[in-house]
Amino acid sequence: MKKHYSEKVLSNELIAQNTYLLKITCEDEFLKWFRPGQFVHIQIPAANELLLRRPISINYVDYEKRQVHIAYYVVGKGTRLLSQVRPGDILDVLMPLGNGFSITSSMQKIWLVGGGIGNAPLKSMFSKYMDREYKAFLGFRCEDAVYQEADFCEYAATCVTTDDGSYGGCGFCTDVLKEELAKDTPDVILACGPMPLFKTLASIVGDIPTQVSMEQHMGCGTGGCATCVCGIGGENKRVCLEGPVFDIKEVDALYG
Amino acid sequence: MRFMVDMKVSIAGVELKNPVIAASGTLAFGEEYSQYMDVAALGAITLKALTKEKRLGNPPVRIAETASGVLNAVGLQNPGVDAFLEKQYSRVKRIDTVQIANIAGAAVEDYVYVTERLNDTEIALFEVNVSCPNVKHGGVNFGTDASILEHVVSEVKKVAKKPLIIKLTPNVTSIQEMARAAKNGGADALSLINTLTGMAIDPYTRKPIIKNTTGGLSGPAIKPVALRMVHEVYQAGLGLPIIGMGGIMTGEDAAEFMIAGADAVMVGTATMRNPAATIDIINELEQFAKTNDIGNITELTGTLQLED
Repeated sequence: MKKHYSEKVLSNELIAQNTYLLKITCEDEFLKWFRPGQFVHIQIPAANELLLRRPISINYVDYEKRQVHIAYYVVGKGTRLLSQVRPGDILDVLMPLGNGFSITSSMQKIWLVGGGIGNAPLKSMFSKYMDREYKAFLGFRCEDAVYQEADFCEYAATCVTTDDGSYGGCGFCTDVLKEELAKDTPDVILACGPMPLFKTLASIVGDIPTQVSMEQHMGCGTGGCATCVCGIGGENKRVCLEGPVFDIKEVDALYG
Repeated sequence: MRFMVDMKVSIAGVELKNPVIAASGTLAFGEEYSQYMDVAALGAITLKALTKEKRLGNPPVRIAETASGVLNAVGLQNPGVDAFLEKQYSRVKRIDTVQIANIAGAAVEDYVYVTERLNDTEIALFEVNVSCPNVKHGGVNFGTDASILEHVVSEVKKVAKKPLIIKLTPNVTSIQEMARAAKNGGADALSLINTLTGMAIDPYTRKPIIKNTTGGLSGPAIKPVALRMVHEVYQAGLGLPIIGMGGIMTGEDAAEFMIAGADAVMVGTATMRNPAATIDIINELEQFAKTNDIGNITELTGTLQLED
């Protein structure tokens, strides 16, 4: 399976506060293996002093146009340089990496729960599983940080919240989720966001199968260096290879 | 006729198809990399460190990026030598190139145990990792005290059925003194340098980025230090093969280490940037030899031109 590619930048645009949407080309080989919830590992171009790649979740895959979309938040030097790449530039990319979400045919009612840039990988579900019954609970810090609400609305009954109430409901997306869980039960919950969001989730999902996409400072992205670990069932598992998606019940930091 | 380069080198009697070796802890046990490259094309692969007991390793964050460098503190996470032999070795064995085990421990007996367990495998060379914290010696590192270093090496040498490569730490005043101690203990080869102890700080939170506070610095940032130390050990004239490492990203970098005195090189951090970096380095080194009329890559070793 080929995973190392040189791909062309198609666009790279600001879509919300400090948040960019990068679109790149992809090959059939990638399309064959891609699963929602996987990530790309991008080498920052023209920056030899930045040795490490940047792991970023796949936001959407357009099979018809053969494009991979990647939404990212500018946090440091690497992502700032990435935000400066222009259409026509070539990126050195490893993809698709990681396990992705485990989706079975019995999972018809799927609820998506995300916070901030963690909402990005949830949209990748619509690349492959368009026929499911979705609800999305998307949390953002404030109005300026909200992105892709319309894209979610296309496939999911979507509820947006902001921490400061400047847009949508005021508070955390998990507040709304809790209310909905009192009325209905999904087959599975897929989540991505900061640790506090996962902690709240852990306390409210009960027995509902819940898959969380974890984040960790990463080295190689290919299982070699064992730096990006997460405590899973008493073992340090590699987020890049055994993850990034884990069963919430197995994440040590969320229980006990 | 096309100019051919003989890329073969020999380390303590073990022939490698070329001088480029994957450094320990950068290719796991090798299996993960078959989808990125032909692992068997490497001169050798060093397996990640093995200890007597299973080790969970350090809690994350374990890695930080620094200017032209990488700081890591994995903490020797590994399943333990017994579990490795039981579960992973049968697959690792199938990789068709020379395999080097990396042996670590918290006490001399641990090194001896791991060595004895690996003796009857097809692993060709044992790299002894002497830069881990030593509880028995009051927190002094095995690799930073010459007499302790010599003792560990001699104890492992007594039981080892394979040649020993002693991996030296650069966190010492005199690398020559440590190299001599390793030789006195019975080393068959030396590999250097291990990582330099360093720190990275987030000024906004005023916390170390790595949970362990300190980590080992690798990458091009340390290459000048590594070259200097390889050259110093070469000049000590101990007659031991030297495996040089520290920030090798290209074939030219590898050539520099050989010119400084190395018989072979190890590549680690480059693999984090590009999973197939080792293969590129082999090809670039061969190309370097071709353009410089070097028919046998061993001709490069120790050819540094010094002014009188």
